[in-house]
Amino acid sequence: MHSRWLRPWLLLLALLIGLAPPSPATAQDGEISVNIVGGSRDYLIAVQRFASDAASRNEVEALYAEIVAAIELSGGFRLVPDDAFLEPLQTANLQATRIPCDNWRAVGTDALLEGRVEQVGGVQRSRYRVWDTARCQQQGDPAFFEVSRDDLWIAARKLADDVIYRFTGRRGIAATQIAFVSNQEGNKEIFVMESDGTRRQRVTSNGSVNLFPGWSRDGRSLIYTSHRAGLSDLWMLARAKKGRRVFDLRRLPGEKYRGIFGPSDRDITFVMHVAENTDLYRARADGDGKPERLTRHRAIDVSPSWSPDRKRIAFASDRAGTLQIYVKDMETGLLRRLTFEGKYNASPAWSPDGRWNAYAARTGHYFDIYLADPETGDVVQLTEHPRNEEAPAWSPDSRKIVFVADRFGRKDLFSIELTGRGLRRLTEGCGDCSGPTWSSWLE
Amino acid sequence: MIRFPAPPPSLCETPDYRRLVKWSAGSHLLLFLVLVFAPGFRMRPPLEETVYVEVLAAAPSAPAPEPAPRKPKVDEAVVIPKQPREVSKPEPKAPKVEEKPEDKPKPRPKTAPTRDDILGNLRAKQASRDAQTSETQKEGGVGILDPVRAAYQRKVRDHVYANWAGAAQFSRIRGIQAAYRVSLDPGGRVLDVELVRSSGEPGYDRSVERAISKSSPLPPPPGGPRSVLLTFDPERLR
Repeated sequence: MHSRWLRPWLLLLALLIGLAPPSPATAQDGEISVNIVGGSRDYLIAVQRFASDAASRNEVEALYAEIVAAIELSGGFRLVPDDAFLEPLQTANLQATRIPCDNWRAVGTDALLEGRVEQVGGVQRSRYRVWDTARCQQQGDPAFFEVSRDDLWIAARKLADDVIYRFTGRRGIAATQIAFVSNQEGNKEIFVMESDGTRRQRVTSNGSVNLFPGWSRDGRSLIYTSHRAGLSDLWMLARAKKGRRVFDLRRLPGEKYRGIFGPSDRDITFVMHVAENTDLYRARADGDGKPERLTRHRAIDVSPSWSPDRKRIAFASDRAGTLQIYVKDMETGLLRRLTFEGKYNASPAWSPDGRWNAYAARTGHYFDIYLADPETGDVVQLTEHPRNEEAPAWSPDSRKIVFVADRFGRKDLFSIELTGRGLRRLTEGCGDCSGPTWSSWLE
Repeated sequence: MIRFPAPPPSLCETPDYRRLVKWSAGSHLLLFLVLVFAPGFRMRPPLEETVYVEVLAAAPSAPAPEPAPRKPKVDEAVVIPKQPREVSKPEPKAPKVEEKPEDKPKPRPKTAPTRDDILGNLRAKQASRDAQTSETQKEGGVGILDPVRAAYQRKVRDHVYANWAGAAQFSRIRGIQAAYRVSLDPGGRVLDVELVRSSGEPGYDRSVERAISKSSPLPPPPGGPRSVLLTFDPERLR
């Protein structure tokens, strides 16, 4: 009898519970929420030797070695070792519409690169395609690069950068270069090398002091500071062209330092010492026209670096008594101090994706590389070593930084990933290296 | 002398009234005894038998504790005491679940459950949760309501974690997170993936989608097919 009385009340209660709004964590009835914190593992990529009727076995192996090295250079990928392959080491059929994804997944593979070297009209081509083995999907259409024996490594690097782009949406950095200063031959000259530190070549040879190289956006030109004519002045180098002076000294006699390209491709920004005052200026890259003064303070303003949207400029200034990083909004003219810790923060470098300003900060007796969020001012220490680490410059994909360190006595160049992993020594036996700057992708 | 007529006898003096009073008192006494002593009519159980159902969250002992390393500990600490009836099972057998996608409500015995049955079940659940909560509170973790759910969460977390790669480059981006809702069949196979919240970084979302694809099938969900909300945070670097 009691159940007869209780039943309506229980039904009402159940109805009320049913009408209650769901909690935001479990938006659907009975849904289970799981939070995963991870993802720091590198992708695993399997690279097959390219099939070929046109190239010898040695050529195929050489191409494979270049591609593998270029993929590993960009970071974020590890190679599936040969002895883990369940499938052939060499591509069997590049036309196949399906691949045995289960076999690739079984060895943990995330990505597969397969290809074929073909002879087309007297030209060798490396045709390739990339697979996402987890989803068993081809990443984009098959593509190719033309290959010759002399520039095999160039094709391999471009190919590797494209493979990474197809898989991650961000291009690799194998086909990029780094310019820097070295005194290995006595005086300080400008050198250029590949992003892995190979193929180092001198690009100035004037017997003077040459400093602060800066790439144009397309990687075709270099601006640098030289004392070759006595005073410190800006000079320009272009690929396959003779170097030239940027400004006519009779028209613009002040000492000029540290030029960079920007804000537009036809502009340069530089430091000029005029009337006992050092400020930032902007001028046309061809040297014509009147320079525009960007900062105006009796303190020294140096080391300009443009934001990728070209609306703000970061620089170092001692206007507060110690050298600190500042950001100036060129539209509003507002100036904001970015760093507050320490007494010497120098060489700001704005990342190409705009997220960070890398800079060198003296902590104790030595410098380390730090990252500052230009929006919030939050600071993260990237390197920590009981020697000097300074002069950071970004890779074009914003994933790596090249910097100067004297870990082994002389100053050498190192690269490190934004994650703090993947430290790589790029130079050895080049005297003292300094002032690195990373090019964009070379077409 | 006018004599007043004799008054009619009072109602209280009628034999019917006395009989009614006796019957009423007896029935009230009987009702009282039934309410007090009969087990099925215990309307207000003693205080110690009160069943509380509540999520207990321990106050965080450290600022911003990382959820990932703690939760496995929480799950390991789940203690499920023996229960008189099968109310909360520590681990549902996967094949069993597949055979019985609709295992709740379970087929009941012929007779309707008594109050004792219901109370016993609730007490068993409460005891299990108390044991679990006390363990998790010792570790400063968050109490988990349902051990079956907790065990499943741990399995899914471990499984997807092992398959997730390529997010390290985004680890310095403050607050980056992606959320996906996956629909599973009884065997854990991913039937559908729905983007709930993008991270704003295509490369990050892509790495998460790959992790989900690579993780299929997930551990078979308890209670048959259901959806699971997966949120992905990158491991923080120093």
